Amino acid sequence: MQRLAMAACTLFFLATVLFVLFRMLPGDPTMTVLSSALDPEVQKEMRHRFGLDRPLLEQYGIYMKNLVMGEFGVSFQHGVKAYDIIAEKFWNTILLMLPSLCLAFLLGILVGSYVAWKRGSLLEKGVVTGSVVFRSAPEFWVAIVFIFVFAVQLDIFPSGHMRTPGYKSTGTIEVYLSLDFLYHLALPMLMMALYYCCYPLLVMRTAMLEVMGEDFIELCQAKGLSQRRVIFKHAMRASLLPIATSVSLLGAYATAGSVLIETVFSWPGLGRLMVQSVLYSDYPVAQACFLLIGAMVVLGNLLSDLLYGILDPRIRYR
Amino acid sequence: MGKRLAWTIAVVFLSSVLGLALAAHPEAQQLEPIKEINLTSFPQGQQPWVYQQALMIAENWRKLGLKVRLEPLNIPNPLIQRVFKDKDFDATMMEGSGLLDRLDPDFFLYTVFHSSNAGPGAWNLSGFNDQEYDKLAEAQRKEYDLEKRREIVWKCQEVLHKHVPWIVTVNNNAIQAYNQADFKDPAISVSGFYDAITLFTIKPTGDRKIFRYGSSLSDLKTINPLVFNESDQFVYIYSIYDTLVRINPQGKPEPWAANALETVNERTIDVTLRDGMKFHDGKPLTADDVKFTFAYLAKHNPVYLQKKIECVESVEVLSKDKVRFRLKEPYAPFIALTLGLTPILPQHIWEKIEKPHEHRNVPPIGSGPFKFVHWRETQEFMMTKNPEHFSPPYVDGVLFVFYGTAEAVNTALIKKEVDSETLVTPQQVEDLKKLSHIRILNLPTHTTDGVIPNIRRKPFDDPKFRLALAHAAPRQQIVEEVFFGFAEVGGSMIARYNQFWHNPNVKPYPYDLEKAKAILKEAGYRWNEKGELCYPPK
Repeated sequence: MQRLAMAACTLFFLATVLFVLFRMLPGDPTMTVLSSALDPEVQKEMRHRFGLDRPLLEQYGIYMKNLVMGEFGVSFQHGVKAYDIIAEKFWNTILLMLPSLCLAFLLGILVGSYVAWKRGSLLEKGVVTGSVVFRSAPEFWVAIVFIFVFAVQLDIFPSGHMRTPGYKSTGTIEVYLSLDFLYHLALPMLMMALYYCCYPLLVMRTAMLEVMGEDFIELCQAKGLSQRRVIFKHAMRASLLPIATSVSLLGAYATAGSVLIETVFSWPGLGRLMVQSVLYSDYPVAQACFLLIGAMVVLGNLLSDLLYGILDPRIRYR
Repeated sequence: MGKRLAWTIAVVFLSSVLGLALAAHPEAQQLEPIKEINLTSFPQGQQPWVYQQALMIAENWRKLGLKVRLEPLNIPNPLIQRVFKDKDFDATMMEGSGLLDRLDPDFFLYTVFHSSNAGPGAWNLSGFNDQEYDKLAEAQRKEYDLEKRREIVWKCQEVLHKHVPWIVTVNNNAIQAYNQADFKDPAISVSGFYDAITLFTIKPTGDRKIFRYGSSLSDLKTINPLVFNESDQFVYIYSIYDTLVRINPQGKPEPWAANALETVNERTIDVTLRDGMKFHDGKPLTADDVKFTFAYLAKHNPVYLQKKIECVESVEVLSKDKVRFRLKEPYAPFIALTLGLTPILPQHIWEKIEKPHEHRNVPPIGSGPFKFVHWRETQEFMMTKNPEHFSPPYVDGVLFVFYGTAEAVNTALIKKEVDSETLVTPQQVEDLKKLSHIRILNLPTHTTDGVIPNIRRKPFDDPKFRLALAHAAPRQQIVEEVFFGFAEVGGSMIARYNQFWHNPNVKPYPYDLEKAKAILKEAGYRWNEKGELCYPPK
């Protein structure tokens, strides 16, 4: 309960900061086109239409009132409600990120504990070096390499997009319930999973090594349990704590990275929308995008806090 | 009182002594170096070819003894505010895109250089203010006789060449590519492949009859004719909506939805509509719709079209298929720009819309050669052939596919996921050449790149100084190193490509740093012992 209240406060604070930050940015939403729209008359008219001619405090009031009611205002660029533009894109982002991150954690945990078990082997050295190198490469570059190798050279995956252009669909859900969607999802998901699993992998390995030196592991071994059972049942559970922390960290990190990855894969998600709306000073859309992404990070934090409680009963909130 | 007098005498005395001392070494003491010049540009990430030109210009200016600070600014924000609104720069690297409506010389001569456009937000960035020139620029837009208008347009170009309010560097080519295995014979408009005319004329060679158009320019944001604000959106608007006049592939305005145009006098033009035109919902298109369109647009300040329609005083319905336009004053570009760019809106739909600027306009109902099918934002936009149109297209439909980056479109074209690419970079040409199914178009354009000096500020207020800088732009090097040969050295504000209006006597200034220095020296500029360029001693 206390955690929830804190999360809500964080969001409110974030919303306020966003409002202020965007208005501090250089540039003016009425000046985004090189055309006759730069006519002062037209600009005045646009300013009025966008509600930017009102005092800042009043704008803030409207913004907050809208937020509480789940509205984000009307987009300057698209001329329609920001919510309508964002809602669909938001799910597209989630559908790419959530499976990718789950896969990344699964891979990271399993491979991480496995290489900890095989400490000192060539395999361990290879995996550790590989993940450090991989993790240090910028994500957009990795994405381009993936497209080049798998889509152009091997020609087994499409080069981007969420569905084959020109697809037929009647309902919203139907867009996602198809093999075509999975086929398009595969490459970016694989890329994200491999890219983001490096972090939990390294964390897991370190934690495992630490845990494996502890007394209770020796006890387990003394009980005559098989090494596999000791590693995957006892040592792994105790090493999961730092992974729980990394959920929120990696979540935030991946959210930022999705902007680039979505652009490279032409994935119709929030990331691309964000870039466009910031460039065009489209306050309502930009604020809503950042707020949603912020909410995702806050949620990630909440989640990792709750995970802590489950994994380690000593730190449960009372 | 006495004290003040004493002080005054002392100051006068001291300063005269100082003055005498300075007069003894006039060259050494009075030289005032020119302050660091702030040269703004598009950033490398957005328009690399503009930024790279700015780098070369800056390097050459430094060779003349100037200090230059290059400042890349993102477009639209904050570039538009800094450069267009506040005019806060010493010089700016700029590109005047070769849009269809800029083939008419009015944009590059009147909009860019008339003194009335030097205020905040308007296009006269240099702040050029010359009464003689203003008169010429006004005269050309009032002259209906093409030959006579051309004479004035030529004169304008000469004046601009002499005063150098824009140091033209190059006119770059548009490189575009399409799948010639499946499609053939597009009529290429003067504004390039990315034009509705391409879609009206391209023919399928086999069974695949949907033309897929890969685009990375920017996502389509609106198809509301009142809200659209970028030339990227022309291709959608003018596929779905008809205009009374259309600019043909050769660049001349031709009647389109109009059957005939009749100039009654220089302020009155009669337009007869084609017979039997219908909107996509089956309702007929009549003279009332035309009258409604102009009145409606004038009332609601459409973002892009406002400047094009403000010359119209009134529209009168003469009969079911005939309207009379009255202009506020003679305006020669009326037929090409006003009639050529105003989409005819169906009255029965728009009169019911209360807040037209917030109207999503999906599905858009026009009368054009293509009908709207669907639009999935940031993904794709689909149109299908309108078989009832007076000039039906050959393809069954067009699918626009949006990509995040230019590389992604290129990959998609190679993989045959799309049939055309809007923006091929010179580096990509070699790879594409190896593929037999791809035809590469290398089209000259009237896109004009150059440096705009801010005449409001020193030392750019001096025409001699600007003339010297005009000799310090390495145009040939830019063509070769920035564009890999896909550009032409530029001289006049009206590009050579724009044949009818271009003045062939206006030749590019040669790249000659020695000559530039000689011009500076002759105008009195000097170099101090550090090699810095200094203002002429007073």
